[in-house]
Amino acid sequence: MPEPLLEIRGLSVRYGAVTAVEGVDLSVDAGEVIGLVGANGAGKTSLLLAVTGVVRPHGGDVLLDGASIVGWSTERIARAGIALVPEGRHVFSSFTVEENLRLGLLGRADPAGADDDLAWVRELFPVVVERADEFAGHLSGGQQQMLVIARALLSRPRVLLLDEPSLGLAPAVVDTVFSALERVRERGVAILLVEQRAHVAVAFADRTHVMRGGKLVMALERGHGIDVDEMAEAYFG
Amino acid sequence: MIYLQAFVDAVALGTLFALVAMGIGLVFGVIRLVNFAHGELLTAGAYALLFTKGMPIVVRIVVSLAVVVALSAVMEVIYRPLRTVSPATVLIATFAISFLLQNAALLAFGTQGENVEFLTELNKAFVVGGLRIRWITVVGLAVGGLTLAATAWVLRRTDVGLQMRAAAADVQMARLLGVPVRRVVVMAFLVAGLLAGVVTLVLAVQRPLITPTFGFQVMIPALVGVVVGGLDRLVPAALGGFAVGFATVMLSSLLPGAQRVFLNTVLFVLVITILLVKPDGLFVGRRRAVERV
Repeated sequence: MPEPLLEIRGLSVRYGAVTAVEGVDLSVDAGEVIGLVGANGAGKTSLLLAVTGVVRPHGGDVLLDGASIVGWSTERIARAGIALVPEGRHVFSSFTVEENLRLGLLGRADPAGADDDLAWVRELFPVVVERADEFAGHLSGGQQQMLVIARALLSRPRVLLLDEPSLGLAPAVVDTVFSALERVRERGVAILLVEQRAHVAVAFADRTHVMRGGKLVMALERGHGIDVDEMAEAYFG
Repeated sequence: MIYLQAFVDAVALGTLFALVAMGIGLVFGVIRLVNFAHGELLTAGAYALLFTKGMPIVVRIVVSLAVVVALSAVMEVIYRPLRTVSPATVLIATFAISFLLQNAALLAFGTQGENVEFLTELNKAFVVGGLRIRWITVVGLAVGGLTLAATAWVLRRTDVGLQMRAAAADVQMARLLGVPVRRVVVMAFLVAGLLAGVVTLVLAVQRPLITPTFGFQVMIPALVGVVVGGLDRLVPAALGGFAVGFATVMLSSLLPGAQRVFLNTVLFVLVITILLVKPDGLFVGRRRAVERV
């Protein structure tokens, strides 16, 4: 059996005496979407930060194509093809939209195909790419979210990590974002989607894990009906 | 007429201070480190000019620039272990490097100072409409202006400039986008060194007596300018440096003769007032949606 594209084995993250993530096993294959839901403080973001080398795991391993990337610098992990869209729309607000997108292009391991990707991203998010000369800080919240995703896509990631991409967005914008992500999945990118809103994740992801107290406590297959009591139990114990 | 004369000189000194301020601001932008030893870059460049006395001008210029840029690169390596310590420790450490280099120069070369004899003919003046303008003022303005413009161009228009600005604005996000932050930091020190090297060349013509505090005397007012302008953004920092250089010359011609000893007093009263009224810096607008470089 071939190795999954991204594999997380027994991963633990600690901040001093506080354990944020404990013994998590998770894998994402090319073209697969894995959801991760849970209450605030469940350890979802810490997991993403450990995968991207922003925080150093306390234990366990993270494998890309079967090779361990633990201990790599964040920039090296990014260049190896793992892109994180962090929570809170980290656009460079005093840079133009075009400059933000260029930063994405500069993160590519292989400059070939950049023009094709630009055309593709323009098709996914026309509103954003059209405003190339404007300051990113002048875009609306939804447009900034699209810009951050577009920027990540231009680095040609093989694994895309998304931290609450729908947070604070209008429903129409959420639709745009998720139909774009559907296209990203079709391209064979492995997606790990962290969401607060379980129904959004369960509807979109092939499998969704519920995280509580740093551990995965439950897994839901795609389209699984959400039982409120069952979810409350999984979320809060 | 005397004010117009002072104005020309004020603009000239302001431009030099702006270059020093830009160098300090550039390094601060990418690694949040105020390099107190920035002045010693100038001093090192000046001593390089002294040691190459008698050699062809081009050799002296190249050697001096190379020494300054190399020392700046060495400083980057020295500061590397400080990335994870508290800001106060960093501040004291860079101050210690400054102090160490000054005293090493003192031990090696003494306090007397020596005339560098570098392009002295540029100190000759020509007269335009009653104004006496020294050639070095014109050359300094041209070289300084071009250097500022070139630095701005690199930051605005090149890939490495974009990456430097990104690292300055949000280092975490820059890393996540694969920006090679270590290389960007090295670049910032190299550019800061080059700026300091250019200032050294102009200043050595104007102030040919080279002493161990040659650069320190310029760094302190320029640093004041950086703080007045706004420490974490490049253009305001450069403007602040310019303002302090400009004010120094204007005040020294405005103040009556006997009061000139109070020049620094007046200057610092102005600075304190500005910091009380606009603590984020004189040239920094709204706090949101700003970039640091």
